[in-house]
Amino acid sequence: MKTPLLEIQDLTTSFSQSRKQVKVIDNISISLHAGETLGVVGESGCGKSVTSLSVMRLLGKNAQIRGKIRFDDVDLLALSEREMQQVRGNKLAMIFQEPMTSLNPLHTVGKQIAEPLIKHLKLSRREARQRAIQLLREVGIPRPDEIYSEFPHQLSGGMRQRVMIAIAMACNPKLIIADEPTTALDVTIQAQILDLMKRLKQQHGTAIMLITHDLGVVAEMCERVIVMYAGQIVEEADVRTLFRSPRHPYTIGLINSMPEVTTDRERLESIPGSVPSLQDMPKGCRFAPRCSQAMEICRKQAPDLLTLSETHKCRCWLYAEEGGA
Amino acid sequence: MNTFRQRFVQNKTAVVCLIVLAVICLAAILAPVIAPYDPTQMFQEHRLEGSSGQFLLGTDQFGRDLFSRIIYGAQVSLLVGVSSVAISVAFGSLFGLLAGYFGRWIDSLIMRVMDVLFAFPEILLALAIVAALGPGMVNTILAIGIVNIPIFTRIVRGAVLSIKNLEYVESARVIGASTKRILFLEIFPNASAPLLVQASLAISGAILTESGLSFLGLGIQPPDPSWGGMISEARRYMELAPGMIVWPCAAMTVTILAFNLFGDALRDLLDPRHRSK
Repeated sequence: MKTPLLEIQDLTTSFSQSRKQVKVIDNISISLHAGETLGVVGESGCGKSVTSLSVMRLLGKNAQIRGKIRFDDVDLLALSEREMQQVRGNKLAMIFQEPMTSLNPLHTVGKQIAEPLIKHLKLSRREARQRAIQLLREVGIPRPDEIYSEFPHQLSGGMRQRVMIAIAMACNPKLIIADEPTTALDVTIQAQILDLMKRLKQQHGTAIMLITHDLGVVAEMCERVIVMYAGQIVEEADVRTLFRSPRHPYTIGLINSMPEVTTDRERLESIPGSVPSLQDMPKGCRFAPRCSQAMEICRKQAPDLLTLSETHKCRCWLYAEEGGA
Repeated sequence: MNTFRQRFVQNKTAVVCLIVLAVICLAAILAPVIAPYDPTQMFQEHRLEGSSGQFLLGTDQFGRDLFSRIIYGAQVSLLVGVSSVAISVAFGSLFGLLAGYFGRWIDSLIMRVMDVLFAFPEILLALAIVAALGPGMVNTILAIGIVNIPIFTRIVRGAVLSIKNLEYVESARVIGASTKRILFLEIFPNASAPLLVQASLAISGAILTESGLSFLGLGIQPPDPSWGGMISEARRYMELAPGMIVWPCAAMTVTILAFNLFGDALRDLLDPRHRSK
């Protein structure tokens, strides 16, 4: 098998908070191959964003990252900050949730796209300008020559997200981490942005790690999905398997809480309770207090991530025998 | 939304102040052309005279033309005001950026030093510095410049604290921008609005402090004309020639008022909360 483009092994990220260590990410392993789209799903506060920021090494000084992150045959955690700056925006790019505030209000759109080109690809100003205008056209912005010299406040949210994508695509990265790229946009624009990302991915063979809480987006975009709960991976499967036969009660709950137009369900189901606080995690399975199928063992002992089939993993006692653990 | 220029033109205070400041600046720059006499030239037979056709604003105790001295005094006042504030802005911004961005011990160290500087009354600290360095124009500029550093440090630090966590700073980091670049090209320009306002206000403060120092004999040294020095000399002849004290005072008042009102207008124009009236 080919070596994956991004390989995260036993990643544990903790923050020091008044002398106590709070584990936000607990022993996560993810691998992502070139050109693949991986969805990372979970509700707020489950550690999705911290995972991506750990990969980018953008967490503050009070964060401790342990484990291994190999990207494109380089150990990211071993790089100096200066070397890391050479990776960011070059081979590894990121798109944020808030297009409204993610652009500097005082620089023109064009300047902000041209910046990584000048820095990483060492283009001259004029070359960078041409490439930036070409990028604007590629992400579907009308009148790219004019937009180039406009300021962010003159653009709508959807346009700004397109600009953010153009910035991320600027140096032809091997991997884009998209942290809820469509959450702040309205639905018709969401579809357009997703289409755009799909198209760019097919044209350039870029791998995407898509972080979202929207299962609809996952079904639309991803080949493989990781479901996270309270800083752990609870289920990992290819997208078909996940939607056809979800195994973990949390995943099942998530899918059932998705509004559907086709069925005429009276009410949406919801998962009772909320994510446990990081300071006092339950001793056993972290989902047990909210799980309808919780058993005796669930409250006492934490389950391991079990391999159900070659492409399907699940962290739940219900499948302990099946997984051969 | 209107552009800054459009809103500026609509703001009458700002426009009037800008015109007044422009006139004062022009007068100062073109002093050799405008002033009828050399500021140190003495007309022994015309001492302590009032306004006349020959001497527009009268003469002082040595028979020097007050109008010429006030115009040359503007040169000194503006030079001291602008260059001392330039020093404060440069160092204050740098310290504020470092303190706000890096936090931790750098922040504590810088801000405690600033607190110490802040604890002294402005004029007293300037006086102490000038006393240590010796009187004269350059030292006056240095002293006033140092005195004003803490204000700018605080302003920039505050702005940096609120800006450094915004998404666009994070995005800059994501595309691999260096810390230097983030500090000076992403954060600093966005922190510059309050800085600009404070700079305008600080120039008038600096002019006042310079006059104070000159009045006390520690600023600009005679026979060079400075407004503070002129007022100081005029004290003894106030009753004989009131013009000697009235005109320099008036020049100073107009200049300071113009800078202050301009600063206020600028604040209104740059502050988003004041924008929609």
